[in-house]
Order: sequence, then C-alpha cells, then structure tokens
Amino acid sequence: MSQAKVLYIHVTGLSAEILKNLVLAGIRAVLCDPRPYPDAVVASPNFLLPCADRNFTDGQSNPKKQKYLTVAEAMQPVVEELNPLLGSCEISPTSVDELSDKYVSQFSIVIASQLPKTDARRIAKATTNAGGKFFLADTFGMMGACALDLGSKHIYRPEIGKTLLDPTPLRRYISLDEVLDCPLDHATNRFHKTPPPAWVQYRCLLEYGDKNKSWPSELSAEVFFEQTRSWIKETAPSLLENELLSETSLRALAKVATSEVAPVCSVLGGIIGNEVIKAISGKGEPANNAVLFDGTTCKAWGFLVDPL
Amino acid sequence: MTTASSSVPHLLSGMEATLGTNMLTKIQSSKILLVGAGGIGCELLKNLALTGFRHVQVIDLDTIDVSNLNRQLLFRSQHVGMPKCTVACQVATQMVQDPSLVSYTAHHGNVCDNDTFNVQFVQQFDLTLNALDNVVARRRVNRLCLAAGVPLIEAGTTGYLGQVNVIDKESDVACYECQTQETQKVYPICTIRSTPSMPVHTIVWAKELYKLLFGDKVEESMLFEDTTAPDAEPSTYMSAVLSFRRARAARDSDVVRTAAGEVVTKLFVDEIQKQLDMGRYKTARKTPAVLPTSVIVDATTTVPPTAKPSYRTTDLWTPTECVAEFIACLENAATAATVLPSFDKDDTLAMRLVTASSNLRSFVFEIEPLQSFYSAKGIAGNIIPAIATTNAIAAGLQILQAFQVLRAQLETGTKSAGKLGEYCSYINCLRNSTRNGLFLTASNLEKPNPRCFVCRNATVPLALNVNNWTLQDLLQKLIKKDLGFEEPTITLDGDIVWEEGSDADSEAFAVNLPKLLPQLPCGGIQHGTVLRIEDFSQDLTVDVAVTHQTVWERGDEEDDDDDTYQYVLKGSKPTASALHVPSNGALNNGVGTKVEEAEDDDDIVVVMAADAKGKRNRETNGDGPVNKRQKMSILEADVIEIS
Ligand SMILES: [Zn+2]
Repeated sequence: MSQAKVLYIHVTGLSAEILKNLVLAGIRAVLCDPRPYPDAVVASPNFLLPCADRNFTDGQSNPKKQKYLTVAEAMQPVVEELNPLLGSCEISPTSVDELSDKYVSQFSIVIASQLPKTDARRIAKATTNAGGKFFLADTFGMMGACALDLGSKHIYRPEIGKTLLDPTPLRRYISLDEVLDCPLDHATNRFHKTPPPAWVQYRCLLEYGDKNKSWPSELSAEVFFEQTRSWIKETAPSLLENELLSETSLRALAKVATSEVAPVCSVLGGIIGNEVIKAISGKGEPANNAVLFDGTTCKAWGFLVDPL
Repeated sequence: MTTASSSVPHLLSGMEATLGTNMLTKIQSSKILLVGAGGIGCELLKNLALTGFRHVQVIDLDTIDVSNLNRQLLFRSQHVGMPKCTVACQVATQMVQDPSLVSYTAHHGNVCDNDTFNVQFVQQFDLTLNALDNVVARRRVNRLCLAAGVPLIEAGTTGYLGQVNVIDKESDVACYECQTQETQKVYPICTIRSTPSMPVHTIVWAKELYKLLFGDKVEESMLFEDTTAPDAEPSTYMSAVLSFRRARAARDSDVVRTAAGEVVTKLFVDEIQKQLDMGRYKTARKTPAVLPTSVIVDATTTVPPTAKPSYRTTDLWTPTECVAEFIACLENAATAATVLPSFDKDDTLAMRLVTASSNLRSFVFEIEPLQSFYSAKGIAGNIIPAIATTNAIAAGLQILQAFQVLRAQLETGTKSAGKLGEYCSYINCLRNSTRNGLFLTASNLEKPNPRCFVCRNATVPLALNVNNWTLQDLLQKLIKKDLGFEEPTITLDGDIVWEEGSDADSEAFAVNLPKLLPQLPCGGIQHGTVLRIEDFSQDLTVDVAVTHQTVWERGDEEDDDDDTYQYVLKGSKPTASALHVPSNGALNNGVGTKVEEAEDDDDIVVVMAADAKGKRNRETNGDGPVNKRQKMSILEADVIEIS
C-alpha cells in the first residue's frame, strides 16, 4: 500500500475528493494537470485550492500576479500539507498527450477526469499493460460515472464477512477500449433492461468531447444535440426514442456537462476511493467495469458494460 | 441577499445550472445547525461551503489532537489544541468565494448543555445535520429536533458501512429512537492514550504500540511523540523506543535486551507517573498505579508463558509473565527473519506483544477482565479504524438529502409540511455491492415504531422487583441512563415525587431518594402503578407502567448472580451501555446482550454486538432485497470503531 503511487490526470472536483481520500489513507499522489491556473478551476469545487487565490473578480488571471501557472503547481503544496508523511508530491514532466507509455507504466493506479476518449484509451492500455489499473471518472450535475480497467490479469480475494477467500480472477474482463466502443443499446443487464442513465449521459459527453476537444456547454447545446442524435442513429438506433436522448434532455445535459456539485463528487469520490484501495490490496470484489451514481435518487451501483 | 442569475459567483455556477436559481437562493438563505466537527462533520462543512450555504452553526466539544491530523481533512499541525469547531469554521470560510457573505459560527460546547442548546435554540434553524459518534448526543439531538419541529439528517458509519436517514416529526417517519440503538462503540483517541477503562481500549493502545515499535514510519503511530521539534515536550518513552528500533535494525541483541527493559519501565512506570504528576487523573473515576518494580525484576527470572510446555492460548498471564513475554517478543523480533511492519491478528509475534502489553496496561489502570492470548485476538480482530472514505460518502449523501429537504421547504413554504417521506430516502452504504450491483441502496423512510415513547408517546412497560429499588436507583439506572432523561420530573397520581433542573426544588424532594419504591408518597410505586416522567428540557413526557416481578430467567452470559437490580424495560432487557467483552473469547456471540431476530424471510438470528449498521435488514426500494450474504457481511463485520 505504501509503495503504491497514483497518477491524477486533471484534478477536478471529483478527483480532488479521490485524491484526498487516498492521500489521507497514505497513498502517494503524482499530478498531471498542465491546465492554466486559476482559469481552469474557477468553477470547480476543488476544496484543496483556496478560493481566495483563484482571482474570480475579473474573470481572467494576470500571469504576473499568479504564484502558480498550472493547476498541478497550485495543487502541489496543498497535497504535501494534506499528509506530510508522504513527503513531496511530484508533478509529471509532460503534458497529457505527451505522457509516454514508459512514464505511465510506473503507476499502480491512474485516475483521469475530463480526458478525451482517445487519450483515455491510450493511457489505459499503457497502464494496464504494465500491471496498473485505470479509472476514467467524471461528474456532470447530479450524475457521475466511472469506467475502469483493472487489466486482464487482475486477481482478488473475495470477502465473506471478515473471511478472505482464495484469489480469483475477474469473472469477465473487458478492456476500456471495448467498454468505450460498446454500442449504448448493449449496455444492459438483467437488472437494467435499458441502459443506465448515468452511463448513457457519460457516453454522450465522451463522444462529444472526442469530436470537439472540449465538453459541451449551454452555448454548444445545439451542436451537442445534433451530433449526439446522429451518433445514436448510427450506433444504437433502438435508443432514439429513449427519453434521455430527447432534445430537452440533451440540452439539459449540455448545460450541466461541466457542472460539478460538491456532494456528488464527495459520494462518487468516496466509492472510487474504496475501489482503488480494493484494487491495490486485492481484497474484496471490485466493481467491474463501471461505477455509476445518481445524486437525485442517491443510488450507486457497479455495472458491467459488456458488448456481448 | 437575493441572487440574481448574473451575479452568481463562478464557484456556484455549477450549482445554479444543476439545481436552478430558486434552489440556490434557498440554500444561501437557509440556516443550518451542524452537530459535530469530527470526521463526518468536517466533510459536511466543506460540502456546505462549496454548495453555497451561508448560515451554519457548528457545535462540538473536542479540541484537535495530533492524531486527528492524518485523518481529518480540515486540520493541520498548527491547529493542535484548538477547538475543532472553531478551526473547521475558519477553514471552511476560506473555501468560499466571498467570505464576507458567510457566517459560520462555532459553539465550543456540549450539545447536552441545556442552558445553551435547548428547544428554543434549535427552533431558529431550517435543518439540523448530525455528525456524532455517540448515542447520548444523538438521542439528545433527536429529541430536540422533534420538539422544535426541525428536520434532522442523521448519519452513522462503521468501517466501510454507513447509513443516512432523515427524521421529521411532521412527516410520519421513524425517529432515531424508534429503532434499536447501538451501544457506544466509537472511542475518542484521548481515551486510548490517557483514560482507558475497558479491555478494548488497552488492546487498541497495544496495537499502536506495535506500530510504534515495528512500523515503517514510527510517526504513524498514535503513540508517537515528536521530540525533535524546537518547542517539543519531553517524552518519557520515545528515546527507549527509538533505541530499540535502532538496535533491532542493527541486530544487536545485547542492546535490544537492554532497550526492551527500558521500554517496559518507561511505558508502565515513568509515563504513568508523569501523567499522575500532571494531575490528569485528579477528577477521573479511577487512578492508575505504576507497575511495581518487583514485577519487572521478577520477570528477569520468569519463563515467558508462551515458552512453557503447558502453554495454552486461553491461559491468563500474570503481570510478571506479561513483562517476560513482552521482552521475549522484542528479543525474538531482533533475530526473526522478518517482522510485519503492521499489526496482523494472525501473526503470532504481533498477538503475543499485543496480549502482553495490553494486559500490563489493563493491570496499571485496574481494568478487568485481563485477556488471554485467545480472547485478546478476538477483540483485536474486531477493531476497525474509522474509514475516511465512508465519512466522505455519508456526508455527501447527507448534503444531497439536505437539498431534498430544502426543496420540500421551498415548494411547501414550511419546514417540512409533513412531506419529507415523499422527498427523502433512507440510504445504506456498502463496501461490497448487493447481488444487483448496488453500492448505495435507497429506500423509503421507515414508519415510526408505534411503541416508541419518544415520538409516539407510547407507554413504557417496566418489570422489576419494587422492593429492591430506591427512587435513587430508579432515577440513575433507568430513567437517566436507559431512557435518556436529563431533568426528569416524576409524578405519581398527579403529585410530584421528584423534580430537578432549573427552577426545580430538588432539595424538597431529596428525602424521597433513599426510599424504596413502595414507600414513596401517594401510595408509592407498586405492581400496576403508572408513573409519569416529564422532561421540559426535551419537551418529553413518558408514562411508565410498572409490573412487580421477582423471578427472572437467566441468560447464559449473565455473570451477575444478583437479581436485585434485574429489570425488563420495553419488553426486553436493554443492552449494556458499555461494550462488555467476555473473557471466554466467544466474541461474536458474547458481545452485548441483545438478541434480535431478522425481520424478513431468513431465519438468521443475529446476536447484535453494536449495530451502527444496525438498521435491520431492509428491503431496498424496487431493487429487490439485500441478499442474504450481504446481510451476513453487514452484521458480522464490525464491532468496535476507533475514531
Ligand atoms: Zn420514535
């Protein structure tokens, strides 16, 4: 546990929660977030970055006045302060798209937020090939989702009460690549006859993010709606009548796509924190291969996205 | 005060886009009472600040201890010694965009203090959030909120398990006391470090001692004392500990032997003497006594108990044997190929050390019963640390439920309009998901228990031998301890036989205290008497119907042969208020005394140890019942939690 290192790609309100949980549990953090500070985090409920320093009033920062240029630099001292026993907190030397496979291979866990799908696929592959685990997680309004890849060789010891059973592999392993390619209308199981709303919404956002290199907003709601409808028509036409994919719902989703609500981050960040600890310790049955949360109903569940 | 859309601060723009301007305005204008500023409390306050709440008052009694730093997100080393609530409010204020708009007020005090925190005080709030770790305070806040008509959001966590519940007088939902209550099981760190009173306290301490001696990082132990800082207090035992660690690393057995003896003397003689000299136990119920020198001297010629041919794991060790065993452990550790850096109950060396040192500490503090290797292992295996992630999840869920309560208030224009059952859910948080994959289950709030004397004014049946009890006994053992009255007024047939509290004339009634129940005025308390107990501080009235009973069935675990104070309340004997750990090591069957039957399909009869996970097995809402295996793991998992 004390040897494990976690790489955080983009520190959002959600990943700040995961980071807090894991750093307090004694797990070292390395940061990769070259986004400009404070502009990139102005609306983020990242409690580790003191609001007073974020220069809200004029809406834009003056680089000369800023002590830190990137989000990672601003986070570094607060992470060190959060658990001084862990020593200094590293910052990754390169930007996200230059993160090499070799660099990524040193981490037990990689946690990414607001990351384009293409980068996610590449980094997930590099991480799991080296025996690490990859988590892609975001919240949007009252919803949140996480897709995770524990690697094909992951084994764990199931728990019954306090008893640990013998090591066993995942019942079914599906790589992040396949998870993100799985047609939406296949994302069902016996408990979810239609695809879970949080997963539907997350996929829509990821698809849009990949095409447009940014997440949708109220301003781009029109484009988001059109692109999403045509993507659904192509890949999962049976869902065209699904209420979640109606114009009203998609416009509403665009509006909250980058809205992070602190308690939603807090709950999902806690659940993912537990899953990371399970992944590192190999104790307890892990979620495979998605964790979904609906902050309105307050339900969270693990879900297997399975193309078959 | 109003928030026009354009002037919404950036930090809250996500909140506004998600919940709408009206809800954000409602949030900004609501007055929130937060009780507790520990693990869950800090998480709550952080979330309140980040979601736009401007008016929050926090009640907490504790000050920040060094050992809180690693676990509680708002506290740093410079805060040690300061009240938790004060620091939490300061730090949370810095999280908001415009501190001048918020007022986060700290009340460093006990929520049970009726002069300050009474029904009138609670009435000023729109909503109360509980972040407490003990039954007494929870019961208190439950009653205050019911009396004041203020919705209450409760949360409890035990290890990886947690639950969140919403309580509201008007909404026809269960109150905190409608359910069986957990026994106290969260122990503050100062209890472990300075004022142990139960075997479990000394075993937790011994595990920390193991960490101090063998951990990769000595400073991670709760017992670590930093002597290198410029203004550091001198430590009695750290230099002995460090010289042992150095000698072990160097595999120098002679120095290890000397250092091991030093560690014993420093921990069980010098440190205790230091605490005594500091006057720490002046007001304590029990005063420790240093380990007699003869015990340590005799140990040099004593065979460690586990080295005896006749040794059995159920043996109890004498203090001298404990010293010999402890020193043998340290010596063995110096020559062993590997020593685990963290405690594991299945590691023999670790358990020998923990058994020996916990018993020595119990001896010094006169804590009974002493534990065998076997029973200590049972206890040690049931100790689970507070898990920060569970606190984060529970607090997040409380805030999401708070949004629901505020939405109900916004839509009905009242504090609840009796409709919270439609807006809110009871949520269970699990480590391993249910059969259908749920990590969080949400179900309808429970209906009140018709037999609840707190929210349903139910009459409480009480069976006891009236000829053995005095009014004083009844008052202390039963009315205050079990029923949670603080300032009871007792009337028999309309006449007062006892009253206390502000404006009460206790002295006039003191003459009744030593009287046996039948000898009280107004005919006394006899078979069939109904006495009325009122507590104006909690706005609570209860009728107690007395049955005279002289013959009792005896459970196997009763170690008290005396029937004098036997009684049955509410149809079943209440759980001992302190966790009783039996010396026979039968942990899962012996802790606590309450037997509860699972209420639905399955025929599991579970002997509840302490039930924070307590809510009995529940149907989940529309997602099918929690499966049996899940139930078992919920109920078996945890006994004791250290925060
Ligand atoms: Zn009740």
